[in-house]
Amino acid sequence: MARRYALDTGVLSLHVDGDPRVRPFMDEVARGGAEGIVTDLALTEFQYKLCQTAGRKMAETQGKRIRSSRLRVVHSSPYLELAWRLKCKHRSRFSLADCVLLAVAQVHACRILTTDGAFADLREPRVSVQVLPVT
Amino acid sequence: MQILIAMNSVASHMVMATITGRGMMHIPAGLRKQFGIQPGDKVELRPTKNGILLDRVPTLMEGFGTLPGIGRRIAIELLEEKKAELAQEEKAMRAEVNRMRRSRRGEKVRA
Repeated sequence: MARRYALDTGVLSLHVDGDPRVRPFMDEVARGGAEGIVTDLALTEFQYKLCQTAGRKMAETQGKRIRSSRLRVVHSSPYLELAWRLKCKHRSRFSLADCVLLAVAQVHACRILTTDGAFADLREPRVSVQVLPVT
Repeated sequence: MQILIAMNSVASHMVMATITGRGMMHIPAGLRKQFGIQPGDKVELRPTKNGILLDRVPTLMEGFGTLPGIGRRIAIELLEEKKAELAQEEKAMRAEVNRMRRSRRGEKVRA
C-alpha cells in the first residue's frame, strides 16, 4: 500500500518557506511515490494567512499550485461526524481543524505531518505522526 | 508564462493549429519549449477581450521555498493562535461547568 501523508497548515507554510525537512515528503508526493492529503480547512487557513502576510495575489497563486498538484484537497464534510467525536476526546489539546485532519488521517491511514508538538504522543488507531517543530 | 490565443488575427510569426472535434489543440514544440510547458503540466484557460489566455500553472515543487522567512513566520503564528484559542475555549468551558454546578446546588447564578 502506498504511503499517505496528511499535511497540516504549518507544513504547507514550511513548504513555501523552503524548509529542507519538508522537501523529501513533497518530492515523494510530486513524483507520485506517496499520496499527500490536505483538508479544505487547512488550505483555506493557509491562503488566509498568506493573504495577510504576502498579499492576495500570492495567496491565489499558492492555492492554485496546490489544487492543481498531486496533493489531494479533501472536503471536510464526510469526516465531520468523526471529527466532533475526536474533539470531545481531545478537547483541550486539539482545535476543531486539527480534529478534522485527524479524522481524515484515521480514515485513510495516514502519517500526519505537522508542526504542532501536541500531536507528538498521539495514540489513535491507523495514524502515525511526524512532528516538524518550528521555533 | 502565458500564451494568448488571439481571435481573428494571424501575424507572420504565428503558427496555425487546428482544433479537433473534441476541442483538442496541438501546441507546437517551439512554443512548449519557449514557455516551459511539460507533459502533465496544468494550464489555465482564461477568456479575455483579446482572446483566450493560456497560463501554465506552476508545479508544487516550484512553490518550494518561494517565501523564505514568511512561511516559517506563518507556521509560528498559527501555533500561537491555536494555543490562545484552546486556552480561551478551556476557560469558557470551566466557567460554564462551575456555573452549572452552582446552579445545581441552588446558589444564585449571575446571567
